Amino acid sequence: MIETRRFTVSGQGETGPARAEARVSIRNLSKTYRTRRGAHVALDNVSLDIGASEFVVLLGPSGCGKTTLLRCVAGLEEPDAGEILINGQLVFSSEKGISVPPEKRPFNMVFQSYALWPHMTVQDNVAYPLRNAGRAVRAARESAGEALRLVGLGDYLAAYPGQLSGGQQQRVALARAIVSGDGLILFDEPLSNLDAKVRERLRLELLGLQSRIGFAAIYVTHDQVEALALADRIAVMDVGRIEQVGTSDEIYDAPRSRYVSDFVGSANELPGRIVSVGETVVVDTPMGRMEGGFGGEPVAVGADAWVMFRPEHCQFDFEPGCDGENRLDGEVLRSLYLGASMQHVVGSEDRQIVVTRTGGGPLEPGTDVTVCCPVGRVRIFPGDTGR
Amino acid sequence: MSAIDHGAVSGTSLSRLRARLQRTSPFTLLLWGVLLFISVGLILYPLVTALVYEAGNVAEGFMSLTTGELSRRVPEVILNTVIVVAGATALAVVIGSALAWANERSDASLGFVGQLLPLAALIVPPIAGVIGWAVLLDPRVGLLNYFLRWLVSPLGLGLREGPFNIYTMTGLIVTTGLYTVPYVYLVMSAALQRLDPSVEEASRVNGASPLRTMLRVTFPAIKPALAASILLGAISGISLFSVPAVLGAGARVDVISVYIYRLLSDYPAQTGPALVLALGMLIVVQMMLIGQHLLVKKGQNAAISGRGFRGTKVRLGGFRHVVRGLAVFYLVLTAVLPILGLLLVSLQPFWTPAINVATLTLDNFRFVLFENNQTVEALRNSMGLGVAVATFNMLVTGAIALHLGKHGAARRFADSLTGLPATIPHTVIGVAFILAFSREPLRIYGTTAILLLAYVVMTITYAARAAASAADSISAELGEASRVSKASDFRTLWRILLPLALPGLVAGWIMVFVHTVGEVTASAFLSGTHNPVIGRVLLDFWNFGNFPQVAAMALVITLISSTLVGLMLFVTRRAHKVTVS
Ligand SMILES: Nc1ncnc2c1ncn2[C@@H]1O[C@H](COP(=O)(O)OP(=O)(O)OP(=O)(O)O)[C@@H](O)[C@H]1O
Ligand SMILES: [Mg+2]
Repeated sequence: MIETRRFTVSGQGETGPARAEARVSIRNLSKTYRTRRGAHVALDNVSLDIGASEFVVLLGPSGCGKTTLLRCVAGLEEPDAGEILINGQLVFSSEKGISVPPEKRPFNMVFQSYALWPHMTVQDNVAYPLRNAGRAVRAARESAGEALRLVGLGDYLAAYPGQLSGGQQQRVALARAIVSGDGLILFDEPLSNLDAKVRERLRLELLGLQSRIGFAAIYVTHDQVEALALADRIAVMDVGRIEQVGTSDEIYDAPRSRYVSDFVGSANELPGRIVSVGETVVVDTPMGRMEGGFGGEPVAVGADAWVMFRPEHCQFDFEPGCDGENRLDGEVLRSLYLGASMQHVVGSEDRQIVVTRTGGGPLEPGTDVTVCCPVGRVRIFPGDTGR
Repeated sequence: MSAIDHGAVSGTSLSRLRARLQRTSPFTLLLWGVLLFISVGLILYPLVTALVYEAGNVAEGFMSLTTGELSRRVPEVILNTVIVVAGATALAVVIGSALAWANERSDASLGFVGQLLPLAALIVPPIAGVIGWAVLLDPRVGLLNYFLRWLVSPLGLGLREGPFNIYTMTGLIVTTGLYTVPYVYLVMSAALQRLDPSVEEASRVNGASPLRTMLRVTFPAIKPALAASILLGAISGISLFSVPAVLGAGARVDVISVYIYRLLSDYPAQTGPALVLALGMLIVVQMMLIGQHLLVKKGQNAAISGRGFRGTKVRLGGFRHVVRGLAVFYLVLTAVLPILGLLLVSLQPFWTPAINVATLTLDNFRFVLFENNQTVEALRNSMGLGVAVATFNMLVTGAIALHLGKHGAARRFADSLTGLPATIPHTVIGVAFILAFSREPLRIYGTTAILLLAYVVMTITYAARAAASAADSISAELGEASRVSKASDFRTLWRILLPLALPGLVAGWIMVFVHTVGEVTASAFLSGTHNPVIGRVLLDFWNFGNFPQVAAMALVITLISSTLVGLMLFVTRRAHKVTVS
């Protein structure tokens, strides 16, 4: 179902035939909020394409503009510049003065607060989009019933939203979004008000629904686990910009900036200076010499750089398979039990790295250990290290 | 859509504005049209027309007020007004803020009484309350005075009059103050609710006594609210008509609103001086508003944040009961006693303090409700106008508040338009309406239409505030969810927002209705024998000395008002339950 693996980074325009197959095309979108406190750039020249039945997650820290981008696609917010196409139709263009109102755009939306109408039954809530599309009461109610059965709420047709649990309410919102079959659903942190268990279950159900019905989704979250689990592609956002777009494993294993590497998953970070650049890059760090590859732009020998690698890619030298070239010596400071895994903090008081191992017990604090990390897993980013 | 010519339209702000206008739905345009009609047609037009047509008289009137025949009376009238307004406002601010503080910050929380307090002036329309007090405290035949004389008669003082006389400056001040308390109470308790008690607790922790905390911390923090309530009291005091109209003649104290009325209703009408005084009134009020803006600088509200604080309350100990007792006493003064007085007088064939159970009769009620043309027609007119005005205003302001959303320049502009009438004394509206609408092209003086228009202007601020609070409690996402479900603007309004805001809108409707039915000022100016309304007929009957009938009629409107206010409490409480559960 995922046919597109292309992506555009902010600023780079998309050309040619790609346009036709995209469900949503966002081009050079900018938006600035002007308040009494001053201007705030919420979106800065953002471009992104979403395939016909692709699940794209917008991931980023609070306040980076995810909701703003989503609401611009919805038509609930008006960008200052740029273009938005849905199904190849121009729904917004600042240049041509086009701004199609939300009710005329082919999509539906699931809100963080569920936004169910408390004065209507669950069935009427779901039937509402169909009634607006001109469907007769009976037929609309029937389709609503089917949609509700699909999300497992067939027994609650006559209930009022206030009588349902949070998880059930979000299912109703989901049914309301899929019922009219628009082919595009926008989600703004739909699971963030639910507890962890319900969230996991709904995540699976959502994926099941998507593969069954086949809609495109733009899904906003600041939860990286959710993003990695759901996404065909993830767009990682920094303040107002899209930092990187890629599949979950691309984002996780090949982050192209320190920001993405740091934001998605956890990362060990060591400052250093580049000593040689060849097939691999060698960097001197306070904990020892490290070898890896450039994550972002390559830089010359002598430049400051950050070395980044993930805790779960590290091993201790007393374990089998530790044949990586990178070896870091340190002292175990403490070990934390995390259930499925064990986290060991290694280093000196002022410079530490974390090693995550599944299995094995805690290590005695004070033990001298050697940590190794495969060269292929080490990514080097140019940047000021403050030295 | 791709048919749009690429080259012709550039991304200039002008073309964006035009695009925006084209996208504005007809419904939005209609709403702006109605707003414009109210602010231009019903405020600007009367004022300007009155000024233009009376331009000659204005100069003459000014001369006559400053150096001419009126110049001897006017300073006294102005002085009286200042005394009454200052006295009444001071009284109201002291009582109102003390009660608000007791309810919000002490353990003497007033419960149901606290809920009724701000509604006191709605439960008993001030005109009914004043008449009630007049029949209680008339020096000779006042029922309460008679009762007090009877109490002290064993002492052998042989009083023939008093001990109280309501027809005095003091009587005027106290009665006016009594019916200003609810406004102060509302403003002050809202401010206290928003003030984080931790600020006060910090002061207590640092060793300040409760009293010192109140004076040094609480009071400065709510100073803006205090200024606002003083202003509110002063504005309503300046234009208050019912109290001086009922008591002023007996007390030989003329205040400006009554004086203006007299200038217009005496023969020959002196329109010039009346207009000059009305304009003066308008200018004074506007200057007070500007002064408030300048005095209350931004940032003084810094201590006021968030909502829903639950701080420890100041313990009053045994004094708690005294405070509660005072709150109840206030309700007794504004509602219970006047109603009792009205009841006793209305059941008698003629007003006498010596009540004879054998002669009690319902004749007066039969007279005002069925027999007398003027009263029957006045009741019918007032009710009809109340329904029409409340429905119209709530529809308009409700649609505006719901449709224009919570934020944005459009809503702010609409709010300032609907808030405008509150800054114009009713007397000014009355004068401007008389002068502007008794000539072509809109000769509607003497019809119910002119009353309808006047009431619409005068109550639209109440309506807008009620509608805003009803609409703003609805989360924006509920409306947006409807829009993304492909509902048109109107359908979103009708199917989603309106049903959700309905309890608040009903409460607002009731408030506007009650205000309209109990309105006296514009009624005195604009109503006559062809278009009688309750306020006007009450005043006429009072001046002609038909006291039992006045009492009966005042009781009837009190009954209507209090029933509706009770209904309002019920509706809003139920709505609260629904949203909480
Ligand atoms: N209506 C508005 N007026 C002014 N500024 C706004 C408005 N809406 C959003 N902003 C600002 O724009 C920026 C982006 O906001 P946005 O809601 O898109 O963030 P977000 O990524 O969705 O964050 P979160 O994860 O907290 O929901 C924020 O700094 C916010 O303060
Ligand atoms: Mg958000």
